[in-house]
Amino acid sequence: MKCDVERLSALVDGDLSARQATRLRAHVDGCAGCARALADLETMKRGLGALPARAGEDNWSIVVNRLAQPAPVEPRRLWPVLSLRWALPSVALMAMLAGGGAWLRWHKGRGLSADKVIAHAESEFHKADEHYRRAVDELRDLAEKERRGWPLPKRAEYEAAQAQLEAAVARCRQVAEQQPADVDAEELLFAAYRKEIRFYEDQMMREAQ
Amino acid sequence: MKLAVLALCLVPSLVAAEENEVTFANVPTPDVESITIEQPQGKLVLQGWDKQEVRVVAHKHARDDKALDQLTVDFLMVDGKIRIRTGVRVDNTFHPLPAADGAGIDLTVSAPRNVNLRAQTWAGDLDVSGFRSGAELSSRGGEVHAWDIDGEVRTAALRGKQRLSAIHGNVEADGTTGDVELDAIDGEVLEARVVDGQIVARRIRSPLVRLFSSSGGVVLMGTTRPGARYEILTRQGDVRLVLQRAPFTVNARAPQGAVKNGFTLTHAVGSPTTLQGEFMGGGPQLELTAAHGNVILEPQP
Repeated sequence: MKCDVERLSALVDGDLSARQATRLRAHVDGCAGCARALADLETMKRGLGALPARAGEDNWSIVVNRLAQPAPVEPRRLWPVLSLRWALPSVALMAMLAGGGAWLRWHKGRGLSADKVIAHAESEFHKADEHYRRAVDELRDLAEKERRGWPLPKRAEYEAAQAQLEAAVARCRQVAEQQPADVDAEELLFAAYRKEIRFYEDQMMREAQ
Repeated sequence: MKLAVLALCLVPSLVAAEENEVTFANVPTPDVESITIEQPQGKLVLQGWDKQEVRVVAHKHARDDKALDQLTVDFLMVDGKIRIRTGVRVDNTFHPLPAADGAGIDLTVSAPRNVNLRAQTWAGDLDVSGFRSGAELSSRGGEVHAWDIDGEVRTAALRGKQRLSAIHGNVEADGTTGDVELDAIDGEVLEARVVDGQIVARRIRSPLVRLFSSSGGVVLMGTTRPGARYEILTRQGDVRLVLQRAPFTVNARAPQGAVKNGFTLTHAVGSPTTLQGEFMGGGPQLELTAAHGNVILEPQP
């Protein structure tokens, strides 16, 4: 390597790459002239750094001069949303959406099973059955009150008809309960209930006349 | 924090999301005699029209695509008899039952006016209009609404209101729980019974009218028809007649209440709990009984 003062100056100013600087320093170690020149340059730099500010430049001027300089470019933040302020809510949102989606897939994407459909239909049947039974019980109680004063033959006739109807309803209910979600069996039972209701209603209408 | 709240709002809205599908089918039916519809899945609207074809519009809704695909409308036509059923298909087996998990089908069927009609729903309302050969309608849990029908109409509702209007034919309405409204009925016989509910009848032209409520009032409004007979009874409730000034003969009883009369009757006899008499010379027979309530007769203003 040839002796080069300008490169030594660049070394002092820190303008050389690490590789260039290493090679130059290796040369300086073996070259007395360059070693002296480098020492002089370093001494000069330290001296210049210690000089006071230029005369006539007050603090205001310094501020204005600094503002007039192009703004230093800060390294760009590629992921501003990942700042701590946004990170936690974002993670929470992603987790909830992912969890919700997974839950929906697990819970809602399976269609309807036969067991579920039949259980639901059975539940509806029992509600309707209960409703009919309450209505029949209500009418039976009312009819019971009215027939207390009836003559014996009339009461016997009434009770025989009532017993037949109740037996028919009991048979229909037995069939409906043995065959879960059998619509025909249910309709047969409900028709029997309606006949029973009409029986009591007819009785009350006749009495009213 | 705001995003977390937003997420909390989004997840339930995703849960409530629903799949929908509307399907149509038009079937030519030149010789159709009767239609039976069993609809456990939701509402049913039936309309009579002048075309010789049946149109079925099914609006399906379910929480996911798979359940939506399982909802089925079964259409069968044999020898002029059509049977339409809704249900759920699971593993190639058709179940004519309501769908679970909030899924269902709302059905609208247009059919030739002159068919014999029989229709049933479970929880859904049943609306029927425009038919000319009567109808037999029932619902387990929905309302029954029938209007503009010629021919005999028979209805039954377990838990739901019934509204029948503009019926030109005999009417038989059975209700277990729910009010019954009757308007503009002119068949030979009108009979409505309800265990727990009120009956309101307006503009009735039938010559034989029987209205019975076990636990609820009965109201008859309008005018009486010459030669007609009205048998009106309640067990627990009032019988109330609001009538135009036209001739009638009345026989009223309210053994546990009172008979209140706003007409000037001739040949009137009775007590606070009974009344017999004639208005304007007598005419249509009113047999009125309120076993544990009042009988109220008042002229229409």
